[in-house]
This record gives sequence, structure tokens and C-alpha cells, in this order.
Amino acid sequence: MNIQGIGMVSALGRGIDSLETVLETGPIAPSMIEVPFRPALFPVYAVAKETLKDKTALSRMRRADRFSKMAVLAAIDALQNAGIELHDPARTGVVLGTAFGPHPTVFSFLDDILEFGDDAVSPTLFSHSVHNAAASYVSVALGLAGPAMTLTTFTDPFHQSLLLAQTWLDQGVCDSVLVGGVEECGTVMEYIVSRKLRIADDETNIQPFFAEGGPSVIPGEGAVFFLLGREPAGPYSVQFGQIGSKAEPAPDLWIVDFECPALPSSAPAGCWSHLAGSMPTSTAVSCAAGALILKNGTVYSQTSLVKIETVQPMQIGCIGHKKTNIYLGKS
Amino acid sequence: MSLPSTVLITGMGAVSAAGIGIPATLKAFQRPRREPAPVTRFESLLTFPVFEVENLPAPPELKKMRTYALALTAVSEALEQTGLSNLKGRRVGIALGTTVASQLNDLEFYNAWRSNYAAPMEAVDRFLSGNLAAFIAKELGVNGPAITVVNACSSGADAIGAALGWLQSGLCDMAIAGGADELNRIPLCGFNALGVASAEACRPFDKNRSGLNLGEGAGVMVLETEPSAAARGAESNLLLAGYGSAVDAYHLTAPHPEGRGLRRAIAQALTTANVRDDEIAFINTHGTSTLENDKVEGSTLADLFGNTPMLSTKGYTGHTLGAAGGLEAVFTALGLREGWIPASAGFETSDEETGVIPVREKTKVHGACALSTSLAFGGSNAALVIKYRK
Amino acid sequence: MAADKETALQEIREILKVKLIEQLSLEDVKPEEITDELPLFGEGLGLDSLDAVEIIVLLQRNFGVEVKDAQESREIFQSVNTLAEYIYQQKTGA
Repeated sequence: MNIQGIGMVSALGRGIDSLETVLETGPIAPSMIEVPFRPALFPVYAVAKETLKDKTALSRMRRADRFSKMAVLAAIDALQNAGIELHDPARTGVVLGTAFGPHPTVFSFLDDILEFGDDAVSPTLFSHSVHNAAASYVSVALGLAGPAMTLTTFTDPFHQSLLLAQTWLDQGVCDSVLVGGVEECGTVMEYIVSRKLRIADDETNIQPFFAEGGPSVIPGEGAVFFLLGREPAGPYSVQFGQIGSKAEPAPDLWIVDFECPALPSSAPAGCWSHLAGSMPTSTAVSCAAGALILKNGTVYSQTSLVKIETVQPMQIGCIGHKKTNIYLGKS
Repeated sequence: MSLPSTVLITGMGAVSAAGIGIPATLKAFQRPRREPAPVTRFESLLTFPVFEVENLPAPPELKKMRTYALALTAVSEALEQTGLSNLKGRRVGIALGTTVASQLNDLEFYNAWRSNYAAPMEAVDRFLSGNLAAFIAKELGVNGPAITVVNACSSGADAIGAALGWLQSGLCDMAIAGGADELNRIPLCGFNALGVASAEACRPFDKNRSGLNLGEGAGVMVLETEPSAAARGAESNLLLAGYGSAVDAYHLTAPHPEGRGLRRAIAQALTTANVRDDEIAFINTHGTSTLENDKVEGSTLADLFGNTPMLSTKGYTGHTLGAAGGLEAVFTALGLREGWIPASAGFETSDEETGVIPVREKTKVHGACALSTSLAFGGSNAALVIKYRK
Repeated sequence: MAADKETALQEIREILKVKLIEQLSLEDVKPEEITDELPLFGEGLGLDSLDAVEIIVLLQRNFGVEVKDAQESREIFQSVNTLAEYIYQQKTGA
């Protein structure tokens, strides 16, 4: 599957360039926000309000929640990044993978039930609390008419989404597929994360899961969409190897998610996904970083959580994603 | 590209208000049973009728995880039919649709959070202990692709379609696919707010229909490539022949007036199944009994299939949301296997706007193929073609 | 009496316009742009079926007024004027 375009919305801003910039220049500071569950300010890589302001792209989305807006902007940007026109909207599919879906909207709906009673809740909130509202908005915004699937798993939503996109492309159901990972953060999730994990004070003491002494995280949120097609197109000349294939290549570089429990030893490894914060769709961020590494022939060693010294630039032909069996290579 | 292999249905399980298990369901289908009543499983001001599953066998650890208990009951029944005592060591994919079980929506937890911002984590841990597909995969000890499909009311059908894709791509040899959903206060409140919950028993396609009744249940199929079944000496006359899916790209909650996505989903399902529209013996519709769904679905199907026998089984089960596509795929397969379909419960007066007259009584069906349709929030449409090889 | 009614209606209309914008997320619309006679659905304000059910909740929460009948709602929901009339009638029993 060829990567034709990538779109990303996160605390880093909008567009794949926002990731490329921090890969080159280093991490940005998280927002420090007030939370009701602890006196100290809470660090979070939150998507800025301004990032989600785009009257043209979001013109038919006045009711949409942040989850849907992040998804739509990332999907639109992926298409724009590819720089191609979709020939047949009925031949383009959407797969959206998420671990937790639009939970702040679910909680707002619960607020309605608790405050106004079972018979006086908002139907708009309810219809946005279902996980597939975002994929529906993506279809409407881009005028797509192919299949759209929203799926959820806690461990590997992006991996499973790629697998499905691959079957659609292999079986000729679609000519291209927009595959995305979307996660939102909100106060309740911040509370849950703070109960489950150690929260880093700032961007300088983030520690991944595989670090000695355990992780110390800053939660994040965002959306990453890949436009995938059978043929090469767009700026990357990078493709995903056959997902789920029994023949596993030996990569020159491993990419690990922040959440990876252990480091591989067969090749140098790096972790970049923390730059956008810790979230269940880290794999999508990791793969976006991998595509940039292959495209630019640069291993961004300064911004990796793992020191990479043994890799010479330009020697990277294959990048493996540890934990899933996703491999990236040159088209 | 090699020809996609034939995919057999080697086991089925169904749990709904119509019955726990397929024998009980078929018995209920003999005569239109219409006994929805106000919800008893939880407190609510809302008293419109729903279809609850009574006497569901559930282990104590699943007491607060009813969707999982529903799913497990249907999966156990389906696996029993395969004759396999366990699936360990097999390449088995799990694709299950749901709506309720995908959300962190525990009111107790959330109420505690609101009162002191220090809620106990029990509900969160329960939620995180595995989403539906991962839970079933763990119960069965299988390794393969596993997804919980959350396409609202077409989730169950889309999950079956995803599994078909995996099997035809050789990603697994078997798959357990379908959907499960429990009756829950959140959709109860939500569908009431949308103005589509009926105060009386639902009447799919009837001129005087006034909305849907919510239900709960689980419907799953064991799907298997022909070589996999042959290798263990298993046979089945039922095939999952085709699947199609397409979005309307029109509106979040309203279907496209001309059934734009539904038409494409059906066309794709027929093409992949290599079946002509005149080979369809009957159509098991989505038929929720809402004004809009039945108008759009009915007029689209009437236009495409004319007088082909049709029915909605919502009058027996209620609208089971994420489970509906799974249950209705099972019911469609049963219709082909048994050679009859039940009366479309609740239908009396025909409606010119839908243009569809579903079967009024238990009806014999002839032919080898049938279609099951699902329409959902977000403009998702799914169609499955099931075949009976005589 | 007639003057009292007109004052009450005027007040209801003003609250309605603000609440419509708020609850239907009509970000770019200002209250004064919603004229009393402006059709709410189709050409006009351009509301849709999901807004219609949201308005039912709006009336319930802000005015304590119920709309049960779908046919009835079609007439009530034509404009801010018809909505205000309905609310006034329900509140005063007139």
C-alpha cells in the first residue's frame, strides 16, 4: 500500500509539516491546564482551538464535536498533501480506528441525563456520541461514497485499520483508502491517565514505557490520516509492506511507540510519537514519523527518546514498527 | 489476484427477545409475538416499550457486562455447531459490532466523578479489561485480526463484511463475526430525544408506524474458508457470498432520500456474490419502523426488487442496534435453510410512500440466495448476500 | 391586554433567538439576523431534521413547554413568531 498523502492534527498544529518541524527542531512545551482533580497544573498536548478553526473545511459541521473536527481536518490535509484528485468518490474508502472515541461527547450526554433527566436530553449530543459520527463527517466533507468503517480496539486500532484497508485495496473494493487514527483528551481522561500513570512535569522528563523506572507521560490528542493507494503518488515514495504477511523483513530501524514495553535489539530503535503526546493512536504518529524518515533520508536522532548513534543516514531501506507487524519501505 | 475462496457459514448463534438460541428463535418465528414492555433492567422515566432478553444465562463476573454475556451466549451456540471443542492453535479472526459496549458510559462512575472529581476506578477498569472483540478473542484463546466495529446500526453487518474480507485475503481460516448490544439507558434516552421511539409495538413498513422499539441481543456466525472446513471434514450448505458497503455522504442522522448509499451497497454485494437481483429469494430488511428509514429503505427496495418477498424481524426482537446486522444475517441464513420466513410482525396497512408490502404470514421461500440490509446513523449502508447450496 | 401580550411575545422571541443560536451551534448567526418571520427550515435559516428535535428539547428546558405531536410541530416550527405564539399560548393557557 503506497502512502500518497498524510494529514495530521495535534498539539503541534495542523499538517504533516507540523510533525516534520518538531522532528527537526525538538519537542514543544505542553499546555499547562487547570484540572479539578489536583492542585498543580496538568500538562497536556492538547489541540489548540485555533487549529480547529477552518470555516471552509468545516462549513457543514457547525454541530460537530472536536473529535469529528480533528478527523475531518486530518483527512482533508492527507488528500491535499497527496496533491491528487480522487477520480471516483465511490472508490475511496474510509477506515477510522480509535481506542476511546469521542468520550467527552459521551460525558456531555451523561451530563444531560443527570441534569435534565432521561426525557430532556440533547439528540444532537446523542448522535455525536456514537463512534462513527467522525467518519460520517469525513465522507460528507470530502464527498466520498465508498465504504466507511469505524473500528475500536484498545491495543492496536491503527494496525487493525491498515489491515482492513489492505483487504479493500487487494480485493478491488477501493482504489484508495483514507486510514486514520483519532483520539481525544478531556478532563475525565486526564483524570484516568493520572490515576494509571505517572505524569511528567514537562517535556524534558517524559519517559517511555520501556524506560527504567517506568513511564512518565504527558497525554495528547489528535488525528492522523493516511491516503493509501495501490499506485505510488504524492511526495513520499513510501509504502506499507504487506500487513499480516508471514515473511517478516529485517528492518534497518525500529520505530517504537511510546507505549512499547521493551526495546528490540536486532536493529537501532527510536521513538518519536511522544512529540504529540501519549495517546492510543501513537502507532499512526510513529508511522507518519517513519514515512518522513524514509522520505527525507534523515533519522531524527535528537528528538528520539532512544539515542540512535549507529545508523548512518540514507541507509534506511526498511523501517519496522515494533509491537505490530507494520513495515515501511521505499516504493 | 487469485479467485477469492468460498466462505462457508459453519455455525450460527442468536440471542434476542425472540429467544435464546436458534431453536427457541425459530419457534417464536412461527407466530408473530409482540410483547414489548417498559424497560425493567434499569430505572428510567421513559416507559416506551422495549424488547428485553429474559433469563439470560450470565456468569457473575459478567453481571455488569451484559453485552459481553449476550455475545458469549451467541458465540457458544455458534461454536457448538462447528463440532470443534476449542479453537486453540487456529487462525481465527474476531469481528463484532456493538454500540453500547464501545463507550466509557458508566453513569455510576460519572456521577461520582461529577460530585468530587475522585471517582473510583472500578468501572474504568471493567471498561479497559478488553473491548468486545478482544474479550471474545481472549475467552477463546485465539490469535488473529480482532476488531470491534462501531458503525452504529450497521455494525453487525459490517463486522461480518470485514471478516469476509479477511478470509478472502487469507488473513485467517476462520472468523467469528456478528454483533451484540445490551439495552442501555443511554440509547434509550437518545432515541427518545431523536423522536423515533414508539409508544406502541413497532410496525415496520406499516402506514401507521410511529417509530422503533429498542431491543437487545447478539447474533454471530462462524465463517470458514472452504479449504479450512474441508481439512477438518466439516461441511455446510450455507455460504456468505457477498458484502457491500457504502456511505450516503449526506447527513448524520437522516438517510439519503433516494437511498444513494444503500443502492451502491446492494449492487456491490450482488456483484461480489456473483448473483443477479432476480435470483434473490427474499430480503430481510433493516425495517426499523421509523418514518424515515422505512420510507427510504422501502422505496429503494421496491424500486430495485419489485415484488420479491420481504420482511422485517424487528417486530420480534426490537431494534438491537449493533447486534441487528448480526442477528438478521443469522435470520436470513435460517430462512434459506428452513425454506420459510416468518410473518413481518406488526405490518397491517400498506403505505404508498414505502411501496413495500412485507409478508403478512409465515411464507415459504424458493431459491438459493437472500439479501440482508442494514442502514445506520452516519449514512452507513451495508448489504449481505447469503447462499444456500442444495 | 393586547399590549401585555405583545410585550410578553417580544421577550420570548428575544430569548428564543439567543437560545436557538446557542443550542443549535449557529456560530455565524447573530440574533438580529433571525427576523421574526424568517423560515427556520429550508431556505431561510436552513435548519434540518436534527435541529427540529433539538428545538423540542430547547422548548422543554427553557420554557417548560412540551411538543408531542410531529404534525403539530410542523406548524409551530415555521418561524420564531410561530414558536413564540405557541410558547405564549402554552404558558398562559390562552
